[in-house]
Amino acid sequence: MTRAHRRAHAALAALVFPAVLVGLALAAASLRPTDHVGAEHLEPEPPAQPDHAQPDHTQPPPPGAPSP
Amino acid sequence: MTNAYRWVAWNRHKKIYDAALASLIALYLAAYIAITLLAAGPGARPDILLPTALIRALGSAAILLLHLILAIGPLHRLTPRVAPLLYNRRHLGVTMFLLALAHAAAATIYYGAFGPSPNPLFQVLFVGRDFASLHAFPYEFLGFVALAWLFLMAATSHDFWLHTLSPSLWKALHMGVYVAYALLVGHVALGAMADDPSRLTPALLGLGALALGVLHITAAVREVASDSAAPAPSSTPSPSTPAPDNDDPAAHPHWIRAADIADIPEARAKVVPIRCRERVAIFRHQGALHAVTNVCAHQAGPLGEGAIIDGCITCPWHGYQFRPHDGASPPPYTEKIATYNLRLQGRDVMLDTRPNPPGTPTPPLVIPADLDDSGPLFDPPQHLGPSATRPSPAENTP
Repeated sequence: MTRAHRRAHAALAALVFPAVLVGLALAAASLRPTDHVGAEHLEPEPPAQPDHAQPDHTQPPPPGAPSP
Repeated sequence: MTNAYRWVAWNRHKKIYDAALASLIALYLAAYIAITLLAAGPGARPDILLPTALIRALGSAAILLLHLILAIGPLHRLTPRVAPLLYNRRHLGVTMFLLALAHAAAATIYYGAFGPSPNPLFQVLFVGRDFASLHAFPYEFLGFVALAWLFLMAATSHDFWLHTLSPSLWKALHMGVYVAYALLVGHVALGAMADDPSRLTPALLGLGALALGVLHITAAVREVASDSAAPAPSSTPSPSTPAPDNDDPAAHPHWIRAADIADIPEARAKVVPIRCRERVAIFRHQGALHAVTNVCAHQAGPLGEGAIIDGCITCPWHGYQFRPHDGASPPPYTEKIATYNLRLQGRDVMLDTRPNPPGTPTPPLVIPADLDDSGPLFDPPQHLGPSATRPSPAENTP
């Protein structure tokens, strides 16, 4: 390679690769997965509603409740 | 380099190279698609279908190949063992462009053809997107700009364009691969972060950038150190000045001690850096020494890392050849490189740092019999063997 090519390669390497690393770090820090367009499927599902049809046997029955 | 051009001047090495490349890419695509579909599982990721997996496989193959392409140059400056890869690097570049093009076409059709806009490209790039916001930035735009640059590079990769544009302009255009690389990293990273909360892809891209950066900077530091340690001639008078006939260095300041005779093996060269000037390659061939510029007239390849094959200095990059005594390519080729004058002072090879005009016949420096201690015979690299060095007169090597 000519001297000019060697210098251009060195300058590009010193510029591009650190810039890419900094850009990646900034983007990763700025963007949360749910922030981005197209990430709707990552929204957390709403918590399941308790099924009131079945009594909750993990809690003590209220006073005066009928025995099952 | 030739009086006629062909699309590809195939030889055995190029056929093996391209067959291996095609096989590896086919294997990679198949493995990527299979693993992606298996990992998605039935119902776990309903958005991952065969087209999605194919689009991602094509894109990831392209970015991986781009990393390999960018690594070959600095690796070759660190070790000449990479020369067989570098020999056909342009085919890697065109293959990478075709993979990226297939990825872009498939993604545009798949994601853009069924939206409200009748134009799939407009749909992908602009509908629901905001250039002023990182969150809604159309990362596809970065990919399309990079693809346009890669197209320019692929379309001008043939030697016809190298000669039409001139080597310096051609090289400047192709150094734009670094800009395309930065754009593609942005495209892939933003796209992946929109979909993958694990940050695995940005982390891998960061590792790739780190590895490439370390490789490039290591190679650059080595080159700069070599140039800095070089002797500097103290003046630059006309090249027509005759070689001095006395041994007083002060009497001829543009002559430098370049090497000991024993430093130069048969059919190979010693590369001599000269401060603020191009390097010079001093070759030994059949009991004589010849000095030429280290810069190949084709793509500025390092001639001194090549060898003398079939009586000609042969560039390690693409096999271009030049006669040692005058720097001219053998007929019917017309390329010429600069030659330099040499003289002997004891065992020291003295070099006149002023180049002769390209193609100037220069008398060889005959090594006296009592100093001729050349080593074993030279075995040329396989990729520069007789079938790969110089094509027949009507051929060229894109």
